[in-house]
Amino acid sequence: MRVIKYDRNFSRRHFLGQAARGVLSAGVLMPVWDAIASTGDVSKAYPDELLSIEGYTRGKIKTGDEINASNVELVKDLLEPIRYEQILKNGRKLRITKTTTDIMRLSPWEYTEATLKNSGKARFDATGNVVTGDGQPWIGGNPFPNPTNGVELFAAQTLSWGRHDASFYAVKINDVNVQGESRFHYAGGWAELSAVARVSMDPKPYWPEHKDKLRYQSVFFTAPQQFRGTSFLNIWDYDQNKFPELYGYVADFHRVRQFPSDQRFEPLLPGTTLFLSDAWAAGDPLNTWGNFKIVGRGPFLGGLSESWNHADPNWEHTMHGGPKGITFWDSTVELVPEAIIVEAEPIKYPRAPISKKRVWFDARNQVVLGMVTYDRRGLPYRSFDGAYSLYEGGGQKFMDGKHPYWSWTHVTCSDIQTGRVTRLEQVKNVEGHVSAANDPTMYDKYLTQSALTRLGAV
Amino acid sequence: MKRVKQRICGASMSLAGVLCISPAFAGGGAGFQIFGGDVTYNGFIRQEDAINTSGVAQQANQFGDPENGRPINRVAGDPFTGYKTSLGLGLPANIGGIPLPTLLPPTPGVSNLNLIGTSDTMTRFIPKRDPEMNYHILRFELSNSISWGSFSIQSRLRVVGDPGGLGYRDFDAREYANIGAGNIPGGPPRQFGSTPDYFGYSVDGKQNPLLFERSGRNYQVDFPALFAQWTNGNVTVRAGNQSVAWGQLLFFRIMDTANGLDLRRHLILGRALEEYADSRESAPGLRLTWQATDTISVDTFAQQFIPTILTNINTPYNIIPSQFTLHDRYWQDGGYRKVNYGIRIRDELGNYNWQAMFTRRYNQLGAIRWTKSLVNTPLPNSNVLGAAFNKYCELALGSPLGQGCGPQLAQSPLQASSTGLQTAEEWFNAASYIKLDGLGGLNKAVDDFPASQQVLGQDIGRDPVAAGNELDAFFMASEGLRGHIERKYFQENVIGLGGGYVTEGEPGSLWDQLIINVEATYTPHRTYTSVDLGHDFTKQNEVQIGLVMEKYQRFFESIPATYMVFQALHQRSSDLAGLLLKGYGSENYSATGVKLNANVPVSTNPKIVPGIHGGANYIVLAALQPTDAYIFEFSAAALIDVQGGVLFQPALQWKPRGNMTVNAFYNYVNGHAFNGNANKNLMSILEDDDEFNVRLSYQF
Repeated sequence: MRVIKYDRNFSRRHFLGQAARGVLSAGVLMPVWDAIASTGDVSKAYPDELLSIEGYTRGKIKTGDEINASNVELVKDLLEPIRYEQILKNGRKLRITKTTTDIMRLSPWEYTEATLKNSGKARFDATGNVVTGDGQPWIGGNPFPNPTNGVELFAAQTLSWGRHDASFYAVKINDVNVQGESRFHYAGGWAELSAVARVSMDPKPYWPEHKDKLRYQSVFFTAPQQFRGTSFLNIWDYDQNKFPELYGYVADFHRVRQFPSDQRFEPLLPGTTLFLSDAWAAGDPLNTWGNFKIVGRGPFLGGLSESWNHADPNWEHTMHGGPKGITFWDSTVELVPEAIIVEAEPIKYPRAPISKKRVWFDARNQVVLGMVTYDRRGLPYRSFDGAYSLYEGGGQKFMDGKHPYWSWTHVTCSDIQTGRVTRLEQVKNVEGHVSAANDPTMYDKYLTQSALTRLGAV
Repeated sequence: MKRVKQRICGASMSLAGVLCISPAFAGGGAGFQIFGGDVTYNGFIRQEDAINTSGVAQQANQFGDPENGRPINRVAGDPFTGYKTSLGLGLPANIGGIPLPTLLPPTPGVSNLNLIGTSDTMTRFIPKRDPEMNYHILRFELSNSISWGSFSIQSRLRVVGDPGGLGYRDFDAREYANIGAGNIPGGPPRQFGSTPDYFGYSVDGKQNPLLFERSGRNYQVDFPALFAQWTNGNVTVRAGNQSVAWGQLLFFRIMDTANGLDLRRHLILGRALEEYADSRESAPGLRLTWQATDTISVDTFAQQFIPTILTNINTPYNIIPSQFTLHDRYWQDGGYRKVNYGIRIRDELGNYNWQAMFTRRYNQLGAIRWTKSLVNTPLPNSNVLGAAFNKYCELALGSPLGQGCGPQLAQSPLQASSTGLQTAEEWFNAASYIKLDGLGGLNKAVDDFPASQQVLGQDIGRDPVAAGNELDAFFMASEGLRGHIERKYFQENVIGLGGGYVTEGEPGSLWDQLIINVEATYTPHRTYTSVDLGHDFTKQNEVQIGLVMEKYQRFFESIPATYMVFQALHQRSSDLAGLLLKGYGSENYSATGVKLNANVPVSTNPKIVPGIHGGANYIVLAALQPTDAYIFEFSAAALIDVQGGVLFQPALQWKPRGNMTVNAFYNYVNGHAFNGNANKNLMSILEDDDEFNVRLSYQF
């Protein structure tokens, strides 16, 4: 019989105590970043009850079990309210896998290496931008691996979304209504490329000609026919006080047009409530949001591994739940020992439809685990949860250079007020556009105005 | 657990098998290969209907001619007094209400005919027939691509069908073939010989002049896009049939010079927010796009010249008076061998942008003038004047016996035809409607054609009474005259500059993120249709300046932003349709006060082509308000001709589900909103096009 040295209440007391003192130091037994720096593993920073679902539930739920309406009460505290409700009432289920403790399996390899290498070199300058000691743009990895406040968490997330220097995601989107019917289907691609803080692609850490930019990002749609060729290109200034330039190819007009840069809370597509602002829970320049504050800490159930559907040649995922059995992704989650919940408000968007967002960050490496946005009345509006994974499994691997590809696999966006669910997934290929990372040709392929024209409807 | 995709057709490697492998293909398709290339396809099928609410047919059509059913007095002029006086003046048609006997009985539509046939009352025998529907088509479009990495072939197939009938009132020229001189029109028979040619595009000398289109009376099949694309980093080359759209302004085509418009189908009256998505022409050619730097893009093209395709006569949106036969010289003049080319450079500098363009092109609008009819048909001998003229031509001009004035008329721009013009009033009304000079046009039909002079046609100067007399003389003699005009194309250089700025203000305010763009082009020596249709076209410099201001404004936190656009356009010499402004503003002539257009003054001394000075000015106001999740979109757009015309279109779009779209919109046209005379603005041409539109789309 194993004696649990630090029981569940110890952890709870630890998190509450730190919150009461206004202290943020990730890790319970020791600073998690110290554990990572010394061993590459987080196990020493957390007690057993935070490192396995068996420990947390005292054996009532085991690795490999399914969380459903019959046992969700046991993990209610590990879920955002909407996921709990969906499991309880809408037939949503989660499969439990073991907690990942190897930090190199929780982000792209090079990103984590750069985080370790550049630890302690970041600061905010007078304009609120992350810079190096000599005032230059950030040089790669997470600038604040041991965050002390909410803005540092959001700054890191805003600086690098997908944690690769360049990413292209072939994406499929389905909107499912309350009756469980899939009403809107979309397919397309999302590209993002960093101009600074590059850790894999030459030149690095900066693309010299574009050093004043943070990133180039585009999204385009190939289906349905009405939206085929519709696309948007965001060009982000490094200065996080400036709105990104926004251009769009309008299929009906057959040409690229400029859009207002504060146009970040409009539905990208009919039938969905996905905004540019929602991207990676940090879709807007850092300093257009404010009042960052940590509102909670504790363990969480998040999708961090085993979520790549290697069995499908196009990586497409399977579904369950809802009236027709297609409302939710089949998801695999694990016990995240410590999540940090941060709230922020859109201070430079006077008529934004949301009043604040609450984002769950993994305290170990600061990836976003989930998000809930609130409407202007302060009521929960939409909930986002998703899954990341190393793209290996079943004897297969999809490589990103020397290492298996790490990326998100699927996202569930639940409109709490209407009951609609929008499912997004990263697939291998949409009309010849293939998901990949760190391909320097992405810029010409997807991230210029000429590219928008080329991708546009004919 | 339910699979996203259930393999239902097995693992067949045949194309058909591959197509049915995955239900995902039901929503368009991708994921299979042909010849090693990745294949994709998707498309839609759409029913489009427009219910006529104006209650009248388009006035340029035979059934919409405002003269139909209107008794109008005609008095033939005396050629020996320069048509200043009337022939047989004082000879009454009746005494005490009792008709006097005439030398020949009245012909169809004629009453009150005097003894020697030199004055009468004409009631145009073609009836007014008002359509219930303006438009009903079924459209199918299919987009395909097959790609091998950086090389791909892309296409879009468009198939449109319209059965005719079903609420239309189709004019059939054959029904009038036995009246007077009959109706041998001289133009392409499919367009002029019988019922309306809804979709056919044929020009003189060629039935299907476009390489990528086959069309007929009730169908159109074409490839708006069919090209090979090659990409090499920052360079993209497209070779094949394609369209090129330039410029920031919507609706107003300032820099959008590469391609003409295909005005068949729905003229410019489709859903406003789709701009020219369905009507911009494509053309075979080469396009090279180069992203020169992060901010500078260069776009060049060289394409076969293809004209703007006008509506055919008697089709619901026809704007060319159907009493005229248009000879399109595109093929005969070798236009299909001509090449248009151009270059545009655009630089985006954050809140600023600038662009410059140059196009050397054959103007797709072309220019129109009188042309010989080449129709050798004598004047009908069923009326006194016709018989007298024919005899004159045979005896004095040497026409072969029995051909009367046919040989002379064949060398003139006119032919005797039952579907032609019948009265001076109709002539002046048709001319002023299309912004032409009713007096000058008559003179040029005489001056430019010696054969017209042989049959006693005379230049009457600027005397409307003499013109009326002369016209009536020929209309009575011919029992209807068709005019023949030809459309030719001319090369020009278009030079353009533009700039844009995005404002920064208090976040959320009206003045924040206002997108402002200005564009201007200069076209030296553009060739225009002369207002008198004279042989020598008019050459004038054209300057177009446009302003567009766009704003997305969130008025409510819970409702997506409202899109608003304001545009203004100034053109120095011509209007939106390319008609010279000097032809604007005509009043109509009538010796007896007949008013064929209630919104145009009539007198015996009308102002003919006073023109409008200071250029043409247009304004567009439009707004779009989507609801949450864009399930509904409410929009409204107005095109205002500041000289007095308005086209207003409220619209609704509903997306009940991803593969279905319902559109409803109403076109309200007022060509006499203000400023007195409807001929002072362009909208009067569309005056009869009030309609309610419904479109039902299914996408796959």
